[in-house]
Amino acid sequence: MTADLTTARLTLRMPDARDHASYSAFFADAEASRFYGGPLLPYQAWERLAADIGHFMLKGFGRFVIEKDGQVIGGCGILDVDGWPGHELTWWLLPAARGQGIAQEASRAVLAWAGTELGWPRVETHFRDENTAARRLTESLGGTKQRRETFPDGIDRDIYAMPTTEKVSA
Amino acid sequence: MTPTPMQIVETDRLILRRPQPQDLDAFTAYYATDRSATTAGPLDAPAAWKAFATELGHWQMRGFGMASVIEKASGTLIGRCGLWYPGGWPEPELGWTLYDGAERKGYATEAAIAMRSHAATVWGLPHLISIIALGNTRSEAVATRLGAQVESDWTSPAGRNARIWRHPKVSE
Repeated sequence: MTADLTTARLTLRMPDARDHASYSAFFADAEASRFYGGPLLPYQAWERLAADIGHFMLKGFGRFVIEKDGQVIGGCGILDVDGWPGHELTWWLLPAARGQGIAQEASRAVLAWAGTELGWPRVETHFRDENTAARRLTESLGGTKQRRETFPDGIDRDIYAMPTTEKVSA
Repeated sequence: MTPTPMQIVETDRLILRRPQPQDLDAFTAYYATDRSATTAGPLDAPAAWKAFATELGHWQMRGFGMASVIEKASGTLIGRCGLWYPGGWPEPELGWTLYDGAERKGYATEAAIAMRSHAATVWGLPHLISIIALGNTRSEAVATRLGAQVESDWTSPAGRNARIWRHPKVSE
């Protein structure tokens, strides 16, 4: 069982059955979920949630849900699906939670956790070329481009790495 | 919630226990073959990994799930049997899948009878269904041996055509 992560405004905890409504809401939004395999129907969101829970059981890490003021507003963590080229720092936010620096705050907590609890010196991520928001966030976390790869879905993506230490350039 | 013990049921020839990370390889091998067509396969390795993670998460979310079936004589993982109740399902179903080489030994029936009793007495689910893909005659034969009867046609949320079979109610 992975302990909760806490920041000034947020709690990051392992997902569980209570989170189906939040997953369904996010993945029902075609615009919000377009870089996450969405939109998804509620039964598919259930499967995604179950897979996120199982990910923690298989790997010892995974994608947390983000709570703010007792409400789930998104998710952030590290996914490492077998068969894909490497792991990724990933985050998702309900539309109402955007524009408040929450993805960055949650990502910093996950990076620090990866350094101290997993012992990783750096965490990678990748995104589609058109996902400029992801690129900006990654760069704000000190991420630098490492390489470019063709993924199993046939799409080329840049792979970035971010340090897990406190020394993150603004 | 009380954690489910690792071992769930033991029969004459089988042990049913919660799935473990090391069960992934047999799961992936099964989903690489066309035999998995009756259980939403075939799946490539990344998709099988996600499906296996989903099975583990199912246990966490529902408190029950598909167990790994171990042949006692050999210690080999030979398939899955248990309750499957993902989003979009009408109610929990009793399911069984045997991996290559484990068929025609009565293992599916033996596992399903034990799991059906366990579901009634421990999980409070005495009147289960099974959802069987159209054309899966081997599973239909198992369902018939278990005393289940066809209740209705059903189309899964993903659009797969199946029939709902209803098992006899397990009395205390």
